[in-house]
Amino acid sequence: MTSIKIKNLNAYYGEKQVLKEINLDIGEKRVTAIIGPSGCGKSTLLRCINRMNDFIDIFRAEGEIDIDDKDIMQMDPVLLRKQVGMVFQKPNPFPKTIFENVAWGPKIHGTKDKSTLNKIVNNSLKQAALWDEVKGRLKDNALGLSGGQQQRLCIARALAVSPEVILLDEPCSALDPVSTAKIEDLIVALKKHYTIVIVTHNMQQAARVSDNTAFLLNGDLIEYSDTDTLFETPKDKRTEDYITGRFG
Amino acid sequence: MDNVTARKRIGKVFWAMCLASTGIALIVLAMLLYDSITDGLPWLDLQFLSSFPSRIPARAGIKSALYGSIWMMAFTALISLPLGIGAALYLEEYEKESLLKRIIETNISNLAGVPSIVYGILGLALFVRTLRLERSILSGALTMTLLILPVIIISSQEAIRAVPKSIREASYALGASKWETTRHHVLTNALPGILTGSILALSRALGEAAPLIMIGALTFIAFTPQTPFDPFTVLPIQIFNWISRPQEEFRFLAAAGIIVLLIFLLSMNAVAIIIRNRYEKYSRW
Amino acid sequence: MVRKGFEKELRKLEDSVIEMAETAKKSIDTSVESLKKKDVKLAKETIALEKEMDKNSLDIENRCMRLTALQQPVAKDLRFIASMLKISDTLERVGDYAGKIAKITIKTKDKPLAKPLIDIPKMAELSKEMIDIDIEAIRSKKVEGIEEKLTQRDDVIDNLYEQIYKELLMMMFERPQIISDATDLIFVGRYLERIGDLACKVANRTIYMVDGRRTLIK
Repeated sequence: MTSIKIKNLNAYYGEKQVLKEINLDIGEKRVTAIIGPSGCGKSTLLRCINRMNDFIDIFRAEGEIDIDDKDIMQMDPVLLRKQVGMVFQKPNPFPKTIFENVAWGPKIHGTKDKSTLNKIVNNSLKQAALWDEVKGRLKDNALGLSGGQQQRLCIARALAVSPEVILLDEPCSALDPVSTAKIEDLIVALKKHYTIVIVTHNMQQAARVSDNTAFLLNGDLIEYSDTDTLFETPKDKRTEDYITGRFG
Repeated sequence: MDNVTARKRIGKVFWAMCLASTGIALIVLAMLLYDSITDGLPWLDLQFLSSFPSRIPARAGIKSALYGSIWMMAFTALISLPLGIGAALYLEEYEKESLLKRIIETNISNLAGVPSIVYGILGLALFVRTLRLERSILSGALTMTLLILPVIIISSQEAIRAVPKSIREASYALGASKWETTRHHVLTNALPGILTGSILALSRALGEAAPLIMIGALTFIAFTPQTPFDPFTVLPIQIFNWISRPQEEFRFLAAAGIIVLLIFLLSMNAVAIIIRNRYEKYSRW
Repeated sequence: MVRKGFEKELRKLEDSVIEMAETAKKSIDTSVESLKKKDVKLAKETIALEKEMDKNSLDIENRCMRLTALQQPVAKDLRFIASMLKISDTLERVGDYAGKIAKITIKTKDKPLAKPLIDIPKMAELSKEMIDIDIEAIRSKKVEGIEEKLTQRDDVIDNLYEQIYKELLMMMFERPQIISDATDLIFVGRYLERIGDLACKVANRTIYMVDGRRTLIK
């Protein structure tokens, strides 16, 4: 499976440097959390891993990000994104049926056979712990689902193209506590098969779901260690101030 | 406390003014409708719809104008929709933010405000004379396309812009290419908005007489067009034609023509409203 | 600095624990003093102190639970609250031992001491010093050298106990009639030796609280 090695990554929005010399080894089949205050560059870092920043005209990145020892900065982003799935802050299902939402990804990647598609959709929905709630109404519009269900649908949609890495950008920030708990359980269950990177501003969430945690501040990687260690005995004063809420 | 009473009174005065403005608009519209219907309704019958224009009012009808309008609309739509939507897609999805893009967009907005007669002059010079398309339906449709293209582009741009960024991101994150994203998500989701805007623009074209008069559609046409290269007339021109006659009866014919035109216009607008309502349910992202 | 209310609660928690430590010291004092003077009133005072400490310990526990539930502490806050919880529990046990000494006083109030108290007051002094070292570390959040300071004193206490034990054993061989009184004194020595160990436990928690190190003094 897949580990991610980020080497000397620098990123800029125009003149402003938003990531400074980031070096980070993300372990395979582990959940790695990136935490930090707003504007610290954590989302930018996450979006470097599937090159979603390419859509920002003034964005520029230098350095190396290796997935399976291949530098993704040199890869075709369209191919990369099949390998690295992403789930966003706000649930963003397509305004189509539940089935179409999950099946669309495999379809554009060349799966045409109806029964194969059915199988993919069923498996993805099961993996995303949504199957039991939607099995009778796959032909309903996805926008009729609740926020938490929509977010799990987005996870199922990402799983459907069988990625190796899943990036989660504050996936629970728009959800209620029960939906949040479901998604968190799901994240823990998914790490058996996927390498997961999650950006969150909810530190308890990072503590609950992740194996490793990275703390970012103003574009610097301040501390990166086991989640247990980081939350019990952080090495850096700035990490401590942030996680104990003494920041700023 | 007195202060509050005074402030509330100002509010009431303002409310009354707004009500009066709305009332005036409605009254004018009602008068227009009343006038047309009382004058025109007795003349509106099957014979009126299926006869060609004639010097004798009792035998005159609107058939050629009605056919002309339908032909015109069809060709205008056929030409203007692909051009307008294509331009809007290019501007919204492909062209990067730049000075050039801003200049283009400003100019399109300005073009939407140019008087229609100017397009008529352009159509006359370009299509009728230079391209030698003569006074044909095609010339008319091309001229009308010029007239409504800015409106279609602007309203399509609005509709495309209204498709949330998050949908595009979702698509790209699945490994979709730009074309797949544009085709399956941007266009699909923007289409109701694009169609609504375009139909409203087309209905403006339907009511226009000036540019067509300019390119020479104001002629006596006693046949229905068979090809896009045939000469033609349209409803507003026929109405204008009748109104400029001295005989009282032609004024009634004109009123009957207005009713037909209004029905035509209102049904197009109704289609636009139906499309919008149909898709509105699922546009709350 | 944000989370002012939380910060204030934490400071108040620390004050309560330090106050408990002071009470523990006082109870060591009164218990040994009551034994020395066969003063039942002092002994009863010690028992009252024990009761007070039981109550305070429970109160501190409640506050720790509440802060944990409501504030979800992590890192140093978590270590602080967990340490306060355990330190207050340990200090309560110091109170228990002092109470046991006081009960021996009450039980033997009419009999003379088996031997004059020399080493036992020394042990009491040393254990109080150790608690003082703990208090200072909790208050200043500085734990440099605390291990040496405590080990040194704890070794002395252990030796004194060993000495008392052997001495009284010898006396019991010689005069079997004082076996009961001498055993009581051995227990008193044993209790004070345990109090020394408890002071070391408090230090372990304090070190963990300050820099997250897990130590095992004693």
